[in-house]
Amino acid sequence: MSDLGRIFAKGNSASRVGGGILTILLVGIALGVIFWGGFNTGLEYTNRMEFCLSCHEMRIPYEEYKKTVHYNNRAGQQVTCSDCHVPGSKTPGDYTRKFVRKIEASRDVWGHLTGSIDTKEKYEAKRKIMAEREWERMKSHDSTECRNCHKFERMDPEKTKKRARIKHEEAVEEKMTCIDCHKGIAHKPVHLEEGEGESGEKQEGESGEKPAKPDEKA
Amino acid sequence: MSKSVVSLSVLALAVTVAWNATAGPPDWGKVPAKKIPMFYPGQASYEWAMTKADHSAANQVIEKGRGCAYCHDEDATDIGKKVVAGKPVGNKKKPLEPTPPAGKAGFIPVSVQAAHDGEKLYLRFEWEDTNDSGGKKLDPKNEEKVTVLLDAGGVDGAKLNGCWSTCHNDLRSMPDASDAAKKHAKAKALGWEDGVTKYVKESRTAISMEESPRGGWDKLKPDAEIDAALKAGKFYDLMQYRSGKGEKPADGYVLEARHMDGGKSLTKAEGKMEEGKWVVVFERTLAASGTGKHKIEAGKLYNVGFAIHDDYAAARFHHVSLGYTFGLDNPKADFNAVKQ
Repeated sequence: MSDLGRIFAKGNSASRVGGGILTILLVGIALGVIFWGGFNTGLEYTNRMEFCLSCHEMRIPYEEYKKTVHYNNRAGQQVTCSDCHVPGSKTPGDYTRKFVRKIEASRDVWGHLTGSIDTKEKYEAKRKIMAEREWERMKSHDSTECRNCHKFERMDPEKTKKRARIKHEEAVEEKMTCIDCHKGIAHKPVHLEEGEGESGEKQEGESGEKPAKPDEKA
Repeated sequence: MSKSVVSLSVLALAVTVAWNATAGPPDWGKVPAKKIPMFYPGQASYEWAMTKADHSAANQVIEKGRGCAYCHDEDATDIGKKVVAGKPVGNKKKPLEPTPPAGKAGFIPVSVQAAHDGEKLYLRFEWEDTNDSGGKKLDPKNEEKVTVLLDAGGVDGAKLNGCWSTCHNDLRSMPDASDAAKKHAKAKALGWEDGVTKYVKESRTAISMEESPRGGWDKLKPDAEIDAALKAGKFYDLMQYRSGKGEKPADGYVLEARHMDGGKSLTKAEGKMEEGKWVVVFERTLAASGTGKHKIEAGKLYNVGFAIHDDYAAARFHHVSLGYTFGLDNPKADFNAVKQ
């Protein structure tokens, strides 16, 4: 009998070791699946809007977002906090960025515990810094979160306003990224407050008004 | 009566009949009409439109030579509606009308026709009367005024912006209007009783585009240079219809100020309101007679902008057109006056 055969043959000490290894392997795989699945499920749990809103500080940007087309629109598409603020899982690169983002987000927990923006006044004082941080993050990977849903090539020219068509053609030509122009889409356009000359334009949708109205283009 | 006298009379009669058969206003039913939006611009001055911080496409206007209509022919009406309501617009999302006139239309769709008979140009404007807003009558004498500003290639920017080159941030009723203008040494000569009137930058030594006060109302070039600019055709030819009883039409030009007279080319500017529609017809000689007039000839492309001072409006409270080209028997022009 070969060594291998001895390990798996019943009734001898080698087979008990082999059976043990197999059991450990199978249990390990099962635990691995449970852990990895559980871990990612937990991670996704922290992407839910309810989770974000469990910190009262997030009520301020939430109320602003509710007035926009990303909250309410004709087709009922809803884009939640993590759709813009957390990278997705579509590519390994994205997944890695998500992981890193989640680690960075532990700073938010610390901020919550120390009351960094726990009043309206404190929030407003830090609004610009927080916004700039987000704009830079989005720009650094070419507005991937926007492009997960919006693609230049899929913008139907017959349904797009002429001015938007011209602007997007320019954006493609000049290799611009979405956040270069579309700041203040879902929250207060803080980039406009000091009258800065940076190219920034709120995407207003068909109605261009708040409160949120049905988006005829959606 | 002698035979020669009779023959001469018959000849004179024949010429008169023939003359009237070919000359005179055209059959407007046969002249193609173009419908354009005329929208409320608020305080959107030339300086505003040419500054990227205010108007995100300013660099495209300069770098790519894009006229206003290139982007705005489809949304001028939306813009007019927002501006007249005092809503935020532009790159900085700020209102362009600090005192929104209640009940005023955001835009007026106007049908424009152009024709000529070899001697005269005929322009016809037709639009549906807007509701009387009941607001303050800024010009109580004239319920409606229609203005045509025509450039023959001499004014910088006119090719892209129509008449916007005349509109500055320091005109009367604009954000940088100066009280000192009424006391200026040349105030009377330039017609600045109510403040600075339209001018083109060819009459100024400098214009401040971004730094307040924007514009250059008081940086007048010496008279000799302004005369030279006039001779070189660097001005807008101006015609204005006024609806008030007894009000005479204006036949002038815009260079260092708005001159409402001096021209001798406008032969008629008549209008009436019938069944809810205003119809205004201008008739002017193709030849340039008087001061500040452009000769209108075939083979040339002119730049043109229109305005309607609707509902007793004055100053900036008018509805304006985007910039268009105009020509005589020129199919390349947006408004092509065809011989009738």
